[in-house]
Parts: sequence; structure tokens; C-alpha cells
Amino acid sequence: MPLTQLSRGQSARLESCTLPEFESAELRAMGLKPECEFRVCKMGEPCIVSIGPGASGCRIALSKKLADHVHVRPC
Amino acid sequence: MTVAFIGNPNVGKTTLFNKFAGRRQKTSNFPGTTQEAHVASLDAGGRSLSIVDLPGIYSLGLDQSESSICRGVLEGSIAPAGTRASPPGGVLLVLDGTNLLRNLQLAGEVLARKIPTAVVVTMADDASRRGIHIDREKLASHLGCPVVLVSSKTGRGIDEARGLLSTGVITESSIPTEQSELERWADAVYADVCADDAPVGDRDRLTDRLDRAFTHPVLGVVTFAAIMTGLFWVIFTLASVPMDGIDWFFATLGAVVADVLPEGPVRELLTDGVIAGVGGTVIFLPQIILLFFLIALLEQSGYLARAAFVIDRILRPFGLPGHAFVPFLSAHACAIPAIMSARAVPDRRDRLATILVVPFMSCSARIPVYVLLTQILFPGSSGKQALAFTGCYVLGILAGLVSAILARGTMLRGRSRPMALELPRYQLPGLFYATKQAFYRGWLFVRKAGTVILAISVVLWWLNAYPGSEPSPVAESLRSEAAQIARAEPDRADELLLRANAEDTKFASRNTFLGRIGSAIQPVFAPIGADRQLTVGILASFAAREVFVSTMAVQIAGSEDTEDETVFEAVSTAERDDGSPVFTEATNWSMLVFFVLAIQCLPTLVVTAKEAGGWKWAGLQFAWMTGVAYVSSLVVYTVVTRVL
Repeated sequence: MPLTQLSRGQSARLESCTLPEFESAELRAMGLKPECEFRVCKMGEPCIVSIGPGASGCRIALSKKLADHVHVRPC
Repeated sequence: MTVAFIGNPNVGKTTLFNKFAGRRQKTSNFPGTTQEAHVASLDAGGRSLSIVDLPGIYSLGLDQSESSICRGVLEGSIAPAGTRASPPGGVLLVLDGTNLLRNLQLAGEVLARKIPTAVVVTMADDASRRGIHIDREKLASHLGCPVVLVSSKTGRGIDEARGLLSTGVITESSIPTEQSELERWADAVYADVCADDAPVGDRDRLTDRLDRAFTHPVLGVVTFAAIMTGLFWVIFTLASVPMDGIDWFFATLGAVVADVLPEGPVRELLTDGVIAGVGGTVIFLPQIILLFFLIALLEQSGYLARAAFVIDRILRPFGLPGHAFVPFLSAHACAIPAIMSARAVPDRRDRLATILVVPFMSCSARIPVYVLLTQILFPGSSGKQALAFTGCYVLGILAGLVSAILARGTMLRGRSRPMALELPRYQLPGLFYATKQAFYRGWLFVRKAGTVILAISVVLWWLNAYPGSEPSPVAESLRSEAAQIARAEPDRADELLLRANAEDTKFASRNTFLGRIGSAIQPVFAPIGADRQLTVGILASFAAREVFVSTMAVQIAGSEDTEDETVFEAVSTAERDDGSPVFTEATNWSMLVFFVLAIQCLPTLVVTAKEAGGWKWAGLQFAWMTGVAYVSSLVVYTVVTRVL
């Protein structure tokens, strides 16, 4: 399902990105890599996710246009 | 030996570099790019080292200018301007202890290049507080090089890290290069060296709340507007004190030079050309330094990344990204640092569109012109003056946004790149970094704008001063009349002498090279209501807008002091060569619109050519803005003339 269909506070794993190669590569380098676990901090514009195990990791804000193309699996 | 500092953005790499380099660092550019390089020389472990702070990157493999520079430096194909390009003798890999998993991927990419490397893990104390425990020995064993945990806040590990600069080793660990395998390697290393099972804490929940507020469609915009209003208020309030000081200093310097040197061309060159030119530029320095100081504070606090998304929502319909808001904001002080700050816009088309349109914003150099024209338009009505003043700012913003739509729809056509940003942690900003940034930007302004403005001021002074002419016949007769009544009516005689001086100035201004050029070019500006004197004012202000006010005052009243009521009166009631008033209502509105929209700043064009990558962009900017200004003024002049 697209990232934009999750709700705030929900955790999920990333399955794939259907974005142009350079944008997928950027997101992957920023930490949004396949199977990474993240928590949704805010939905809407922008969509904010906190990536990383436990208390470590980082926060990435994505415009809704990007988040629509990020496919995830709730966990 | 050269040691390159490499790491993700916001890992504390530059803070560490500053701690090692202190004041000995120099800032230059990587050739052919606008990316800054900080370089310093120091002794470490008895060896003389040159350390280079590279731009923060997420990966060496990305198609971004920062990644390409880092690749070039590691391969020895690129080096900061003024240094020889060769592969570095060592690398200091800076990793964020609170985000080690992602940082390990870049670590793997760098270590696989087999350059002697040492690793510094920053924010170690912060990581401990968050319940993340890093096993230093295990990490060093996996990476195959020395590792130090540091905390910039407490200073823990800093001396040890400094000792590592010259003792990096080539890793013997086998590190995969294929992306998926590298990610699995990073996962495995992380799982072995980090104990990290703390749940989401209060601090994260507070960050969640702040993020939601700062990026909220309504609350976010209100917060942004409040912060920006406060920022401008601080800039305009605090900057006025040093600006008055600078004004006083250059006025005094001019007076001293005028007293010391004998009358002649050298004295005039120094007082009217060099000192007036440099003073006219340096006076804007306090605003620029304050603006960059406050922006650096906001940037470090973590707010700026959130604000970028608020502005993205507003700017996106115009084909501009949220990143463009710092340039748009800075341009209200001065377009030069604004264009330089467009480097932060990652997409090339977005960046070019930003550079092309930011000079439409009303910079502080336009303020003296707005003040003069609105005072003439609405004498004695400060409310209407303020309204017209605000209208000028709004007109500039609208013209910029409409131009951006046109640029993105034609020559910069293409999909607008959606934003993805890492949101840094909220923190108290550091005054040292903000001060350093502010003074560095101030220095760039003085160096780039000052030199060009100085040269142009001297040329303008020469064009406006030569060839000299004999006293005007009208002035001669006024003087002889004054001499006859000097004893009987001394006050009236003084008044006649002042009028004689003004007549001389007007007469001389018609015969100077600039006056003759003005007469020749006047037909071009006649349709927007300009006579010979206004044409000279417009031509002179193509070097820098603020010159318009002093040029008009010098031509009409023989004095630059427009705050002097008699001079202001003379300018506002000045007559054309045919006896009709210079400033009619239609001319005034037309000139106001022209000065809002025309570029009229050579240093801005120089910086545009440099930052956009060619003079064709500067030429386009000049042609577009001047064309828009001329056509708009023509429409305004025609409409106002017909209506009134």
C-alpha cells in the first residue's frame, strides 16, 4: 500500500519505490531503503517519517507527491 | 599531507573542523562549482597537515554536485581553488552516533576506496542519553581502522580525534560495493556494535508535536509569518545604528580629505568617486551581516528545514521549490547574497529560475528611491506614503512569481522536483558558527560588490565631472546682483548666491559627458515621462539604484543632501528645460514602477553570471527585467496621464 494510506503513529516497512531512478537513489541514501522500519510522525503535506531501530535514526519529510510512490507494509 | 573530512549532512563535521582549524581556516571554492571548500593547515602528531572540509553527502554515488565533488577529491581529480589536485593522504570519516545505521553505508563506500582512514563518531553523549550504546572496539574491528567517540558539547574525545588525523589506516576488512550487499553489511555491523532498544521517548513526542505545528497548513504559515516579521524588525531596527555610524564615518572621511587636499580633480576623485562609492556600498553591510546571522541561527535551530515545506506549498504553483525561500527572503536586503544562497536549491532548473527572479524583490538599495518618490507623490501624508511603499514590495514579489511561471513554462520547462529533506534535530543554535557565517557572507559582499561598485562609481564620477564648463551666464548675473545688495540686504544676497550655485550645477550637468549622453538617450525614456535630468538619473542608477537620488539632487540642487528640506523642495519642484515640472504625478508613478521592476545593479548581474554559469543568464535577466519595467512604466504613464 502507498505510504500516504498509513495513519499517524503507525509503523511500517518499506517495500519499494516507483519513482525515477535518481529520486529513488536519493531516498535510499537518506535511509529509506527496502525493508527499513519507520514510524509515521505526521501525515499530509509533508509526510514525516522517523526511520531507524529504537531511539536512533533520522526524520525524513517527503512531499505528498513522493510519498504516493513509496509502497509499504504495515507492521 | 591532505586529510579530507567526509560525512553525512548535519553530523557535526564542520563543528569538528572548526575545533581543529580555529581561525586558521580559509574558504575558497571548488573550481567550476559554487560549492565552498574550507581548508586549514595544522600540526598533528608532529606532522604538518592540510585539512579539507567536504560538503555533507548521503552517498558517493548520487547524481548531485556535492557527491560529485567528494568523488573528485577522493580520486584526486579536483581540489579547492589554490591547491594542487591529488588524492588525499587520509580521510577523517565523521559518523553520527545517534544515526549510525545510515552513516555506516557512507562509511562502507569510503572505506572501499582503500585510502588511509580514521573514524570519529560524533554526538556520543547524546546517543548515550537516548539509550544507544556503541561498542567502540567492535566498531573499529569491523571497519578496520581507528575509531574515537566524541562529543562537541562536552569536548570529550576531541584531543584524541585530533591525534587520529595523521594515523588513519587502509582497512583490510572486506567491504561490499554493490548497493544491496553494502546495506546488508551495514545492518550486520550495526546489529553487532550497537545496543539500541529504547522506546520512543518524550523528546521524540515533543519533536512530533513541533513538526506538526511548524508544517501545519495554517499554523505553520502563521508561525513562519511571525518569525519572518520578527527577523525583519530586528534587521531594520538594529542595523540602523551601525548604518548611521558608517554614514557618519564616510561623510567625515570625505570632509577630512576635502580639507587636507588642495582643490582639483584628485580631491574630487577621492571624495565624490572613491569615498562616496565605497561608502554607498558598505552602508548596506550591517543589514547583510544581520540577515545571515539570523538565518544561520534559524538553520541551526532545525526550524529552517520545516519552514522550507511551508513555503514549498506557497511557491510550488509558481514553479519554485520551498528551498527558494531563503533567496527570496535575503533578496529583500540585497540580491547579491540572495543569488549566492540559491546554491541551496538542489535542482538546476529550480535554481536557475530562482536566480533569475529574485532581483524583482525590493532590496534595501531601492528604499531611498521609494522614499523620495512617495514623498513627492503624497507630501505630508505618511499613511499614503506607507501604502505606496508596501505596494512597491507587493509589486516586486508578484512580478517575480509571474516571471517564475513564465520561465518554468518556457526555457526552464520540466517536472518540478518534489521535496524530500532530512529534518535535523531541534537544538539551541551556536553563536560562533552564526557569527562566522555572517561575517564570511559580509566579506563576500564587500569583495564582490564593493570592487565593481567602486570601479563604476569612479567612471560615473568622471563622466559626471568632465568636461568642466565655465560659470553659467544666469549664475554670473545673480552673483553680480548679490554683490550689489550684499550690505543692504545680506540675507537676500545669500539666497541669490545659493541660486547662482544651483544654476551653475544645472548648467554644468548639461555639458558633462553624462549630461550629453542623457540628452542623446532621452528620446528612449521620453515615452515613460523622463526628461534629460531623469534620463541621467536612470542611466547613473544602472550601476546601483540608490545613485538615482543623489544624481537627481546634484543635477537639480547642486547638493546630494536630500534630507535637507531646501534640497528636497528643489528636487520635487524641479523644472525641465522647457519650464514644465520634472515630477508630474504620471512621471512619479511611472518612475516608481520602473525602479521596482528594473534590475539596475551591475554587481547583481556579475553574480548572476557567476552563479548561473554564464553571461547569457545575466543578459537574459537584464533584458527581461528592463523590458518588463519599461513596458509597465509606459502603461502606468499613459493611463495616469489620460485619467488625470
